[in-house]
Amino acid sequence: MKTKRFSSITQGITQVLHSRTLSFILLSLSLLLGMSISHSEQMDNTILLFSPRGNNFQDTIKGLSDDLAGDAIIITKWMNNTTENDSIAQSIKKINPRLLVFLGNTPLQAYTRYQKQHSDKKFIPAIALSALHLDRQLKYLNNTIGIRYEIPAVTSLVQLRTIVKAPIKRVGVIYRQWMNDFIVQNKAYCKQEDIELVAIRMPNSISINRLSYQLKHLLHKDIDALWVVNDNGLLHARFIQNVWVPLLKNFNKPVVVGIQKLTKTNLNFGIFSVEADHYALGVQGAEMIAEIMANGWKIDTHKVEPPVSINNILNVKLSNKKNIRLNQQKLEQLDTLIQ
Amino acid sequence: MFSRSQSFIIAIITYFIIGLPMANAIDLYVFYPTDIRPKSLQKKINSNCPNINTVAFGRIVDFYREIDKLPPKAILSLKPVVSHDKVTKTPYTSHLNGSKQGQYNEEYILVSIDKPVNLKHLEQLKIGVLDILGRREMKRFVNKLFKKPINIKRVIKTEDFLPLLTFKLADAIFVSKTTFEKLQKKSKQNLITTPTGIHIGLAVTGIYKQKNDEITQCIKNMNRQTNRLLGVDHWEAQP
Repeated sequence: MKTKRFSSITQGITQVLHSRTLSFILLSLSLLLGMSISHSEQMDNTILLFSPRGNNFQDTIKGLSDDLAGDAIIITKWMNNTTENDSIAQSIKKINPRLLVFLGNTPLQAYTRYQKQHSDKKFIPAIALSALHLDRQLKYLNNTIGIRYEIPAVTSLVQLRTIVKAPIKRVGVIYRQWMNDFIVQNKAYCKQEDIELVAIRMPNSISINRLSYQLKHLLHKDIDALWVVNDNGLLHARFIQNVWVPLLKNFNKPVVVGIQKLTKTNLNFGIFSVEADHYALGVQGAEMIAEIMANGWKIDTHKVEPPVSINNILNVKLSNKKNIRLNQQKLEQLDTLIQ
Repeated sequence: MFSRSQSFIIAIITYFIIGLPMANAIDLYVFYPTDIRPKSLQKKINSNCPNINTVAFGRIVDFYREIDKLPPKAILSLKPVVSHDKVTKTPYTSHLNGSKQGQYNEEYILVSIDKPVNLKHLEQLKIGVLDILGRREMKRFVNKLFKKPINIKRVIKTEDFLPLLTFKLADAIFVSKTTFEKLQKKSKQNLITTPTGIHIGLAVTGIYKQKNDEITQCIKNMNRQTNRLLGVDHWEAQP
């Protein structure tokens, strides 16, 4: 029988077995004896996960592991920008998993290259989590589904509506052309909650002057709040410094951002930030995996889900400075308050 | 120092000694899904009971894990959680039951958008539920309640119910009437209810082995605001 050594295969390993005792004994025995684990016996419900290192990714892996405990073994392979493309092929060959999980864009891009290089092969099911602009990437991947990383505006704005006293009915957003589908989808979600997204589309190539002109124009459109999309092109340091911060200085309405650091008081930018709850993202991913498992390790849908659970931060200090009145009793619903 | 086999034996002994259930210095563990964050709930309970060391959990998996490691003197959660096998192996024999308007249970309903749920076709639908027992146990629990196999989609926070409906990740959600009232205040969507005839137990406090008067008094004297957060208006010893 062909055997494989865990230690030589993976840099990180997450054992998810039915009981704590059993996992402890197995791990101890494997350490004690330098044991080789039988491929066919041990790897039945093995999931191979590729991820960069980082706290958020660790939280997602914990969510996945906690939720799949007793049903699957998750083997984690850490990746970074310098990881060779061959490592995916080697790991799949060595571990022979039932399913692949990719966290973040780097591993997913590497897997896209892998699929391209092995286009004659049949690919096992794969799940992608924590990757930006997932819909675009999944167009080039077979047998892969996932959960988007971007938080839909409606999730942030419904939460914002509960914590600020002023009505939130019209919300402005500036976006670049390539995000058009995302904005169309978000407009529809917001409409369900009676919120109108007032959107200004810009070309993919932008300048300080053009962005400045459009933002000024948007801020004069009688909007109740501003939603800033996570787009590196729009949030480049020179645009933050020369456009966003100076123009938002006198905008005394809520600015919702998708990056925690943009709510820092000294930046004077976002008052409310919403990010994915990374642990819950893992649980949501685990549920997708459990469905695939129950379906005989087959993906029968091509759906990409939005993330359901969020963590939020409110900069109370900045809200007060801008005279944005808050429902004090609702603040306990938020994860972090910057006072 | 030690040989590998000696280290292994020591590890095994240490593990089982540490793993033995015993009531520890923590007095009360709480897992109660509510709108506010666990740390705020913990703060409120602590302010009601300054002599009791309380820890509130936001995830059921952590709650069970910690009880398993070192059981506290008391636990507070929804009745299905306290009565679950994972907990009952620890002798939380004495119970304080929370009640609301004289009832120990609350009605649960299905909530959907625009049209009610046809209960005859329930098996074909995806129903959103709050995970209070873990994936496998939750499925069993819901199947038992509806007396048929239900395709569930779990969330781990009550605030996540609304996105399930908005993004059409579930056809309906299975929630208490209290949760529905909160959702109605939060959302402008056309939320429609379908009665199920299912009632689920309100909050219960289980106390380790024997009566602990200090904890009992603290729970019984909880102020109105904290009780409201825990979905009850009164506590009494198990009849």
